[in-house]
Amino acid sequence: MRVRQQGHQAISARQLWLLIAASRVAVITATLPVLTTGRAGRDAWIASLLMTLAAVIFSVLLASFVRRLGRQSFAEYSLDVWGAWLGRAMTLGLCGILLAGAFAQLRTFTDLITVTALPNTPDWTLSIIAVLPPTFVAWRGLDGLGRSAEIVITLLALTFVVIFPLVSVPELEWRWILPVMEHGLSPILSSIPVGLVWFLAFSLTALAAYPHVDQRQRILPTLIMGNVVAGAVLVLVSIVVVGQFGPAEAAKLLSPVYSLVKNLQIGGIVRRMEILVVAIWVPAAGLAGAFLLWAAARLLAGITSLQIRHAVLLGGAIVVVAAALPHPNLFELVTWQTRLALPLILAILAVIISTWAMDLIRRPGRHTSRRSAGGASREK
Amino acid sequence: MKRRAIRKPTAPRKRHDAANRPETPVAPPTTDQEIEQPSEIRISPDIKVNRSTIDEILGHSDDLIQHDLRLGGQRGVDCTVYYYQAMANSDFLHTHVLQPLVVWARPSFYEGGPRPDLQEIRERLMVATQILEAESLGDVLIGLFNGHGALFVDGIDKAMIVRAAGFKSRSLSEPMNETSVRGPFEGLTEDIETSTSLIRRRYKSPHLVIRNLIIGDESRTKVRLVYDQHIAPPAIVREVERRLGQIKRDILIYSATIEHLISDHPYALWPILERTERAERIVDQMTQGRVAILVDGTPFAVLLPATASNYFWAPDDQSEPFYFAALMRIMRVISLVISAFMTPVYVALVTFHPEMIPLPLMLNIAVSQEGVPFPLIFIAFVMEIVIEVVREAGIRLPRPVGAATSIVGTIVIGQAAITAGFAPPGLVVVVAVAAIASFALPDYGAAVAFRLLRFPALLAGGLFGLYGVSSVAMLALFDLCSIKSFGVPFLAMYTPGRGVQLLESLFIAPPRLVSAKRKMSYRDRYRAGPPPRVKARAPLAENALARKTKRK
Repeated sequence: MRVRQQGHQAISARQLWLLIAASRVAVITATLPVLTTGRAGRDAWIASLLMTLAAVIFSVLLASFVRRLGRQSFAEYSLDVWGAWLGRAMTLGLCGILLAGAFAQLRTFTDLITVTALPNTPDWTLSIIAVLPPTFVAWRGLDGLGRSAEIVITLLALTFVVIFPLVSVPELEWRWILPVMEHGLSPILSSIPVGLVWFLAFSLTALAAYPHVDQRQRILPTLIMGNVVAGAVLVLVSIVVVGQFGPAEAAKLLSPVYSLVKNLQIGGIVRRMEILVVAIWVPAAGLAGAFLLWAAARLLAGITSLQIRHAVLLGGAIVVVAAALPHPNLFELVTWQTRLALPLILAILAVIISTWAMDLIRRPGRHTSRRSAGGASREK
Repeated sequence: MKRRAIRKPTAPRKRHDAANRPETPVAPPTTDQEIEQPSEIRISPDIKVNRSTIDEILGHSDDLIQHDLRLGGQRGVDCTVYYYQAMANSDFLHTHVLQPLVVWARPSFYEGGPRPDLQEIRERLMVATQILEAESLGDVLIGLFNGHGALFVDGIDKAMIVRAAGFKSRSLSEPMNETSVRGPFEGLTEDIETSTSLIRRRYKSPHLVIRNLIIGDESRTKVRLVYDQHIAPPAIVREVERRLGQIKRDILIYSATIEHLISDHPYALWPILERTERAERIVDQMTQGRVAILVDGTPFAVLLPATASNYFWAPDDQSEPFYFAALMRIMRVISLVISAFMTPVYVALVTFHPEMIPLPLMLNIAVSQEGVPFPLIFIAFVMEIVIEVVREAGIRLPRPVGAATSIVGTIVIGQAAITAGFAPPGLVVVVAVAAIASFALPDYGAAVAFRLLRFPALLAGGLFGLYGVSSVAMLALFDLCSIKSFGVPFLAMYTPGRGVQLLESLFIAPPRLVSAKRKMSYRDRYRAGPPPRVKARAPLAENALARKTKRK
């Protein structure tokens, strides 16, 4: 039996990659295929593959960067490197990306729930209620999130075991997928940033979680595993969705996996299985939202005098307010994501690379050992 | 030689008769400085001082018995025996302490001889089984409160505590809350000594450690820590001792108080420490590294750390065929889910997702609901509350009446509710099944927790359908994930990569497949030899630096 002292909020490297992977899979299964299938068509799976490759390359960059953080999160580190105001601005920018990710994630699921189960319930009511459980979960700390990920990934895996082999694979039409690259590389490349920005957003959580990871020397395999597992699911989902519905119809579907599940019946006894599957998705969506919220709060706590729990409440309040305001529907959300993807990726890369470069210039001798960090630090 | 008369022991007398007791209580000391703790008062060599001190501290109580003796006539030595009438075995004290003192106290013994010392008296009184020396009045009081006798001798600055506890306690009986068909029928009792003996009888190992603690400044309750020193992780033992040592209470009566005070999450909905009244359960769990806490005055021991799999353990699991026990354990898991979510899911399906229900069944439900004047969620709430009331009444009523009242009450109320058109029959069936499922859980605390969870789930299901139920389930799941029991994650076994533990928690392995030897503990491994040395690998950056230096 492993013993950790009470209040010691730390997770293992394995829990971190499961957390990243589970959160991504939740996003992937909800809407991400449409983001890649929209432009790439039948080559969506190649776009997914390349996107995973790009995410892995970014993971290597990120892992090299986070090793410089030592016992700090990005918040404290950027204050050291950039000074008080610029450091705060950089961190707030990342907080904003993470909070926007949490909002988009929860909002997407709310829309799914509205469509599937509660067409007469006002969206804003559901959005607010969707924010509260993740806020509570994030408030309980990273430790619980890490262990929740282990269970949620099991739930998601079980769900896919039901969906893909039973329903989709027998009806798969390979003519929708082949031949590859009929229209060249351009549509594939143009669809990569949309998915990549989600992958990057979840990788950014490592900037907040790094000081709380037990085995920090394993941060690179951790980030790569998180990307590879989620990327594999995305490739699989893309193949199944396009193979099932065809590239033209798949491009129009807002939530292809949901559409797949609609075809599912168990022996004619239980119908409308999509409601059940959406109910199973709720923990996954909650986990993803909670993880992003916690990461944003951790960064916020690093640049203010707030404790992480208080910062979580603040972040949750911001998302609740955003959810209560008149908000876009799922289609508009997808459009926004498509438009903002590339600028966001560039902004993320700019923040990381410039901070790294500035640190190298100011403190060239800073130790970047794999083992420099030692044990996980204590959460405030 | 002048013969001295032997002064016979005085008749036992009570300190104060009710008639002599002052009507107004003595005013307590006004400042803290005036109050000296008994544990700080050292025993005086002058017996008069000791008598007056004890009189001052305990004299207000009528059941304190005091025997004043003079050993060896007028030039002899004064001594006094104290004990509590209701707590000590007075026959034992008379036979083994007072009579030997009188017989031994011949005047010739003192004629010109040295005054007796404690060792001498102790040797003479060896007929009494256990005698302890006390140097402070605090120790004497603890002895008296535990039912022992205290002997003061003039000229000696120590007292002797003679073990003579003789209070009555309940005899062994079958545990009330953990009944068994084929298991042992002996349960722990309120007497901590009896409970300890039940454990010792089943675990005759030199590795068994029993640590005594006293908690409660006023109640001075005996608490015992029981564990196998070769198996229990020392970090957990240390942590238990630390947390128990931090308890500052005047009174400790219930083991549940300790449970709350030492818990990692005292306000968690779920019981995260296990309670048991079965000695064989304690022994079984000790061999798996867990620590038991016994509290005098309560038959419930606390086992820690706990995991969620403990919710599904039942006394007959090891006594029944393994396949039957495994099946029953799976049934308990299903019962837990039914208990918490069956009514909410029913309400959610009927209210929001009727298309998920097969058409013939849905038509029947729709027909039965016709004419019901209230929304389904309201009726479900009322039915659940009625079930809880009937259950509570069944517990509080005398046992022969309670069971009958529960059954009759449930049947009559359910039938009447259907006939009156208050509740649809489908809902009555669902509520009844959920209530029965909650009784299938062996852990009473867990059953209560999941019954409580049913109410928010019902509300969420009635307002937001399956999505609401799922949200409550998510909250419960994540809450269970985030709690720990003495540093051990509560859902430790239900995570990927722990398949063996998960299977062990769900299924009972047949005895042939269970290793005859217990698992090698960390200490055994330590004794087997030092751990293999791992060659320390230099960090990458240092390697790179070294390479650069080498090149230069």
